Amino acid sequence: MMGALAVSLPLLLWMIGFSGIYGLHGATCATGGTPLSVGLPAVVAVTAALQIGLLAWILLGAPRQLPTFQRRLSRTLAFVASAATLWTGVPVFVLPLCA
Amino acid sequence: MTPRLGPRRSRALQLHRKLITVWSAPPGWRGWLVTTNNNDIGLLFLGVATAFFVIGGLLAMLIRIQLATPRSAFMAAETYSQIFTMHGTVMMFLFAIPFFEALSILLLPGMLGTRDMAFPRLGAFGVWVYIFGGSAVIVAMIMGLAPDGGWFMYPPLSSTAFSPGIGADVWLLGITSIEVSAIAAAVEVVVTVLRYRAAGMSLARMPIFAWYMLVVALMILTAFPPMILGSVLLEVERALGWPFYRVEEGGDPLLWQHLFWLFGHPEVYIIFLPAAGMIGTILPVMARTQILGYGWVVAAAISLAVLSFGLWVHHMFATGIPQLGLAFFSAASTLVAVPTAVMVFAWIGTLWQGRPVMHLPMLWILGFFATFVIGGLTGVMLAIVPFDWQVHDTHFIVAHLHYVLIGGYVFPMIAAVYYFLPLLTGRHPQFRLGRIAFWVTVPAFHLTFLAMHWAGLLGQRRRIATYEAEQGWEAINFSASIGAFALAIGFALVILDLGLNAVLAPRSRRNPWAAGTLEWAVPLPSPVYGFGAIPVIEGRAPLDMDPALPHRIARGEGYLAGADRHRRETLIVDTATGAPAQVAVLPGNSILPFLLAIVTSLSFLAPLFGAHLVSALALVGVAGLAVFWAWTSGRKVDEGPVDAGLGQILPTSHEVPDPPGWWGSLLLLLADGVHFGSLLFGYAFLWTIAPNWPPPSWITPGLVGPILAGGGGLALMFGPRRTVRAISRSQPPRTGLALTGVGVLALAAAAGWMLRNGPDPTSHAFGATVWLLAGHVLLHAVITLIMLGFLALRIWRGYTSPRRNGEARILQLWADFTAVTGLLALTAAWAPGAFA
Repeated sequence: MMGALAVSLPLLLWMIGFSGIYGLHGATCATGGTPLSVGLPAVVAVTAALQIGLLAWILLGAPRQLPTFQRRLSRTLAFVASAATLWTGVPVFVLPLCA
Repeated sequence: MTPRLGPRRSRALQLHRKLITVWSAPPGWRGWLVTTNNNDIGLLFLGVATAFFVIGGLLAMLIRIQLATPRSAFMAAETYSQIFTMHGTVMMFLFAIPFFEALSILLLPGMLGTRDMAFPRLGAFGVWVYIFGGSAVIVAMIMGLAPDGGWFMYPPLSSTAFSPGIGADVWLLGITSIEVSAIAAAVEVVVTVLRYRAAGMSLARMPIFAWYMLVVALMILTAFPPMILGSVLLEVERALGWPFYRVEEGGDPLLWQHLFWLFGHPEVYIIFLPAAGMIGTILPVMARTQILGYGWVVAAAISLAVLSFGLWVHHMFATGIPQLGLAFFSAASTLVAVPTAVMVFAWIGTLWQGRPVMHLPMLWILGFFATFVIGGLTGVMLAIVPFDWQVHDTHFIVAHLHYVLIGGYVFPMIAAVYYFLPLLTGRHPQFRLGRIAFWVTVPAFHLTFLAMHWAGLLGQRRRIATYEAEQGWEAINFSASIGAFALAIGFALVILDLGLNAVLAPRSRRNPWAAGTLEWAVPLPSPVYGFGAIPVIEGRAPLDMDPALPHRIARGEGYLAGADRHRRETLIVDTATGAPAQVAVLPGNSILPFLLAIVTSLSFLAPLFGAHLVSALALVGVAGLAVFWAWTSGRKVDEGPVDAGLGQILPTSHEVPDPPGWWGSLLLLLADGVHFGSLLFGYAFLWTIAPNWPPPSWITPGLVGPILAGGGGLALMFGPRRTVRAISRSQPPRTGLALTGVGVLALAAAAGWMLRNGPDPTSHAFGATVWLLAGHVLLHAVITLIMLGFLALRIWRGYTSPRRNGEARILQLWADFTAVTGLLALTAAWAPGAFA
């Protein structure tokens, strides 16, 4: 169970964050922008913080008892997910919201 | 005089005879109807998929004849629209996906060291549904009733206003039935890879192709449901007038694009990844080494699969999405180049560290490299929004997707068929015709599609039947057509060469390529039972580590040697470690998959001809046969743990809390959950994005509906648990069963109550969505009721015991799903009215 979690959680979190950002963006623009506009950077920041926390947990914490292959796999995927979260989140900070 | 055999050989022969008796299908045509064995099913799948490839190829030739010259009168624009729609549809749905599923069914059991797939009857059902659904689509085309809205069927073009007649319905119903087949195969692949392996085959020792197929099958389970939902919505709109895609009534055609591409982009990787798995399997053997960076390749495959779900909007860059939205998907689109590059560099590194030999499969892999890298790079170009706007809907896109799909999929698959030909036919490919075919095909491909890139850059639109001479595209198009015909000749030569080799080539010795993986440990061609005994392995390349392993397997040195209990058995292992855990008892030959496929296809296809009563009767038939199917499994008495060989006593799969059926249900519910999630996404999308919202009125929940729903949901979650507990303690499970029944009826009544005062589904998309949400609840309530009745009957007839409580746990899974999604569906329908 721990192995399955460590392997699947990082990219799953990226997917949830990415969907959340896209959904919130749609809702923000549909409702005229302002009330929800602070939400987008916040979602990116929260997702990034969770990813980094997850990365730390995988590097230092619970999955250490996993077999070597699964441990390495989960570490690699955690790095990939962290990079993906930052890369796909960057536009939120540099582009206009609903233009 | 009969030659005398040594004792070891004699033992192997005895085992072989016993196993053949148990595992074979009857001879002749009847055998093909009742067989469930992976060798037979896989070959049937492969043959039919190849036939569809030929049909799709012929359609491509018609397209190229039409475009070879300007103002061509070869066919009318309407016919041209049907032809290109059918070319895309046949190649994507009837060839590409089924072809790799066929190879998986054929090869995975051997690679994993097991005797068959996890659900042999489900595999047989899937292949027959595919054959019936695919044939119906082709017959419709021959009758001139083919769809003509392009292979992605965008509304409003595909709506009744612009696509009258049954062409679009043929596509929607035919393709949806084929998707059912794909989901069946995906469930089977995931359970097989996770549980059905040789002893000692931990995750780290799994063949690379198994990793790829595990990833792909999970992608199918999560990518196909949005597409199925989109098709259901479009068909319901066409048949009943519920306006999901009609703007004036609160619908939005962009919803279709989202649902389609939520499937459509992962679909590209669903097609590419099995090919990548084949390359990862074949390349190290051809390079006489081990794959470089096994762990990196596995991580890259998983990353690519997940990231590919964040790309769907890059097919919609021209739909007026805000810049920020475009930027998310542009960023994700460029990101997928990274794991793809990791794989490509791992393969190059493998070649670098090895000593490659230029056998025919290797040639095709080199053809893949030369082609796919170009297709990948044009893909990165298309991920950049301004460039995509320039070439959107031009022949540049057509050229790009063919570089990816033919270069990235067809070429590696040809390599795979040549590589595994000895396993399938017992003969080793040897004719020079194959090399000639390669040297015709690959240059012809590049002539065709490089020219098409050029035409696209000059502005030639796709899906337009003709062009003017003064546009200056004649030479380019003529060259592309010449190339296309040469390409067709090349593919025809490949098929001819494979046919000749299958019949005339000399018999192959065992393991002719000196490969290290388990599928080559069997005699050639692979016998129906696969392995004489389930081997114990200690590495990723067991045949390299122990060249005598095939002979030891044949002599029965391993688990479950022979077939002493006169039934089909194989090993189930612990997912992570590969330690033996259970003895799976597999079903034998059965006509049920064939019959169930007939009634399933009838239920899908009868509405095309207005035969709704026939469709309803067929659905009753589906339910009846499904119940009978389940009834034929299981036992009335406890067998207890059985001798699995090598001194190990293991429980059978009938007497464990997590039987294979439980795993299969879990995965089916994953797909069902994604389907439900897509429905909620569609609702949210229409609400926030579509014009003409809010609707004229919301629905108010009142008190009765929510009370029924809440009480029903709780009872539905509590009842099955009580049933499982009672069965496990040998107590009467009446209370649990009754509670479950009351719960499911209350939930269904809540949905019915909502519809009692519900909005007209044809007046606004909100009303249509409410009816669909209620339909979800009612459908799952009916399924749960059928399962409940089935379980009650099984308990009464003695099919359950504390050991045999798996069926009750399966009911618990379905009841939980029905309760949770039912409550969510009703809440989503009531919430706006409650807060308004």
